[in-house]
Amino acid sequence: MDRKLWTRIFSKYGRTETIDFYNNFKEALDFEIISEPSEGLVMMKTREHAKNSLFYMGEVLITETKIRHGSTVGTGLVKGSDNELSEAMAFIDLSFKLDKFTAELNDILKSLKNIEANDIAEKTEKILQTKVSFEMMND
Amino acid sequence: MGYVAVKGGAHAINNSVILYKNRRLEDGADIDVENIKTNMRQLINQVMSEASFYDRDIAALAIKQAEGNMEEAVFLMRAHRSTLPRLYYSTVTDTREMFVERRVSASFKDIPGGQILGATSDFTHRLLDDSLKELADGPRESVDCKEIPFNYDLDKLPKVIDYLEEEGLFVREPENNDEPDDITKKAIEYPSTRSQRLQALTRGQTGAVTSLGYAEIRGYGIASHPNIGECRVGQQPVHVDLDDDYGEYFIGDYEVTEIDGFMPDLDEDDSDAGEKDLMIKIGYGLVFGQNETKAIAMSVLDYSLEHPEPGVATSDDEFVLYHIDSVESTGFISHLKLPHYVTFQSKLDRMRQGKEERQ
Repeated sequence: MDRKLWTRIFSKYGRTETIDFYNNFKEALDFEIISEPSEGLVMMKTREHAKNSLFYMGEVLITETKIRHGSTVGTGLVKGSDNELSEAMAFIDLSFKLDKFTAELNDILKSLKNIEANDIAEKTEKILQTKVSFEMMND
Repeated sequence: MGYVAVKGGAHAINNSVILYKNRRLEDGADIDVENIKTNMRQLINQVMSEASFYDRDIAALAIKQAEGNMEEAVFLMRAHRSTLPRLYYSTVTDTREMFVERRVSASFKDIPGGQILGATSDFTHRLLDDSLKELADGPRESVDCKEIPFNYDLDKLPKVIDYLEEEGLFVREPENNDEPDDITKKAIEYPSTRSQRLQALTRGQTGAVTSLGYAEIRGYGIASHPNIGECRVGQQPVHVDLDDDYGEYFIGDYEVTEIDGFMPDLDEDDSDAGEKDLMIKIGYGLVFGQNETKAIAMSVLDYSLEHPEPGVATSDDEFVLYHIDSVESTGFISHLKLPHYVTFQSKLDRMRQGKEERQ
């Protein structure tokens, strides 16, 4: 599973679904929490367009959780302070790595993708109402 | 004069702190942090930008605790940030992936994707709105929606410099992937590097960056009017790589403002000194939140520091970068009011001694 994709969709559009999934399935997988949810920072490395070089533009707050099944580690990283979501994301990361509950997760992902598509369409429509139509000035 | 240790301030200091904390509640009702977060969006943007630390909840709390005092809120944010471990560095974020909510160019009317005004105060009347005295349950007006033809995705909007590059008026530099310096880990040494300058500028105090940027273009530097090639505001996705072969991990979207400031400049690479082409050079600005004035000023200062003019203060990296940091400048200025009894007494002693000797 494409982690860049599912982490975006679950954390942005499915907080409730992610936590519900965790609560419903956590008893079905043997795992231990090796790092309780805790806050930390991510430094943003950024490309600038004048010289095409890199610089650090600042840090963002995240909450990280790590869980383990055997030698496989699941990591939960979420924006801001959110212990519940971070722990649930760690469980989903572990599940995908172990190929567990993939059918259930893919069903959730599919429905969340629709929510994302609708959200983007709605935002885009609203933003485009502020697009200047210069042609109209000659009417 | 002998040195005299001073004691006895504890009672006064404790009560001063209590008076300070109580003052916020003496003349009115308490305010919810959530209300600050949602209503004071621009204040939060400014605090996060100057703190170089993005979290709207913590910024709102800092603003409440500081009674809206910017410098104090930034100080609180920086102090809190220093208690947290840095867990990761992001993969390289590129604003070409930004979900654009506002994008305008002051240089070209017709740009690919068009001029998208987004949410801005630029076109509002600066008249106080009495209706805001009443609390609203939600938005008072809704956007009038109609079909707008658009052939782009807002997270893949081309940049204006791409258009200039096609015209041969802007030369894209080769990608430089050198690891940036980090001024939060190691103090700047002069002459500064480009990554140090950009990091210091983006976390600079908004007023200081704006004032120095203004001085630069008003007559104390390039004394020229830069053109804003592109101003874009939007949501920038940030990812980290956990090095576990499962791909990048999405952290979140963060509001940023980016400025490409166009500065006409002689092409330095042209070998024929007699017939140099005028090329566009860019001054670059990128800041947390919707913070357009600061981002524009940053682009001006970036250019002036990158192309220094002898004798110009705003071209002097030490002058600019040392003095724009909110915590450092406000900290040093405000410490002047704190007890300096011994040092001042020492000065007085020298003055008295000199006076006696002259008599």
